[in-house]
Amino acid sequence: MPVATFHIKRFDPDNDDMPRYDEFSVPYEASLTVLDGLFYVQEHFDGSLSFRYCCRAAVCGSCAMYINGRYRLACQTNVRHLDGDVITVEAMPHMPLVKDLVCDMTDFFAKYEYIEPWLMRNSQDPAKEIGQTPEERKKLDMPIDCILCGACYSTCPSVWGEGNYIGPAALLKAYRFEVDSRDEARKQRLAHFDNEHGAYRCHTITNCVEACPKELNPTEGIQWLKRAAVRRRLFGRLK
Amino acid sequence: MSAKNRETANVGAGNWKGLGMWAWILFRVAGVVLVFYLFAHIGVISSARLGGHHTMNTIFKTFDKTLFVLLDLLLVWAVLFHGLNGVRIVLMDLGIGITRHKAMFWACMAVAVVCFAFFAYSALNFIADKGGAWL
Amino acid sequence: MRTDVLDQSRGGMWAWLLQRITAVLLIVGFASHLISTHIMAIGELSYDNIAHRLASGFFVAMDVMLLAAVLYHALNGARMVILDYWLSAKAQRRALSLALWLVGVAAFIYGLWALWPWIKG
Repeated sequence: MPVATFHIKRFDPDNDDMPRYDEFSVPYEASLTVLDGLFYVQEHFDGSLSFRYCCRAAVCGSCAMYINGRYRLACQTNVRHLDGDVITVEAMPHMPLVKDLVCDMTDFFAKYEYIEPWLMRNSQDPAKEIGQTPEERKKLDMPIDCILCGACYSTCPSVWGEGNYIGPAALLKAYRFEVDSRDEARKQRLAHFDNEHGAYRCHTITNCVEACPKELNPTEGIQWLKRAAVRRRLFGRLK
Repeated sequence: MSAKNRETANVGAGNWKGLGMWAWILFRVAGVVLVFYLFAHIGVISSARLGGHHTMNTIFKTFDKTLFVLLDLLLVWAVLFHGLNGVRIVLMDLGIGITRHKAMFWACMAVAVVCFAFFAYSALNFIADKGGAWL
Repeated sequence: MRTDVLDQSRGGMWAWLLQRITAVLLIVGFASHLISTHIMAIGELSYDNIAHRLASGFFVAMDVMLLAAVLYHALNGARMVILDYWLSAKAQRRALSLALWLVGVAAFIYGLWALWPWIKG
């Protein structure tokens, strides 16, 4: 059975000043994912290894990590598909650490909540569901796939700055509701992204596009929001 | 002790790669250089009114020295890089080519290199013809 | 929680939009500025040369336009760089903008003063 060397970045806030790397040998067969490997380490070598996971099917966004120098979801990364048998697993760079591979996502979710990520309507709801044409639905295809893993937020140099930038994930979500034909809170939403710490803090660096494990394009959404702000404030157009 | 470490232990471990990122870093560096140059430039041009023709021509004599011609070339590169990467950013702001921004970057850089080659040729000719002292 | 600052930083469209508008002006302006200074008059950097060029009203108007656009673009760019790393409170951001506007207006007036003999015609 082939053996993979897991090179894991560890950090224990109670005892460590700086993170360290621990090495573990994990035997593997065809289907071992990095997440499975972490379970193996936890069960066989070190029960104190901490990491987040939940769905194991790349839809919950809990297990985003920095694996072999790229943002990946541990659950959908097959060990065999990585180059070589040495696998470096690190917490998402530049995020505050809770322990080992677990990052502090408090700010990330506070900012996500700030854009009020739910459908807002003023008019009377129809008797049945709110209809959408296929074209209207198609606009949601890209932004709706975001699973809030935080990879884009972790990799964005604008976020690394003074820390109040709302970040690519929240802006992508703002875009998702902006282009939703059912949403009617245009004025209310404008204030969320037409903001010095909102869309204009994006400098089109496109790190978020590189990082996204779901291959979404937050930059495209943020650029759309900037133009939407101009359209709305200069020409009074709501759409 | 640990609350602060929690915040900082992982900071700076950021993802320091990607074309877009380095384009942006160099874009910023060039921009900051150009801000300082702008004020120097206003100062030099105003010397004509401040001190008269002679003062201005004396300053210009210094700029003919080889070192300054080469610095001028560096400045031309800063302008070209900032300007042409800026073209790419304005296009992205208009929603053009966001998914093809890397190809756009290299296209803009190709234009910048061609322009730069022209300026470099002129500058090197100038140094060969008239250049004397380094400083 | 870090969202209280977001409530205090609404707006910002004009700075963003004007940065783009001046960028387009500068691309066109600098192309002609560099061609006229470096190519049409290469190797002849002197007062007479500049005075000769500025005798034309077109170049004076061009220079005044460039001066205004480049000052806005440069100082707003500096503001963006500074705000990316420091000064998140609203009062601090206001103070920075005010300081940069004062610098910009002073530099513009100084530049006009330097060009005055040619503006006057």
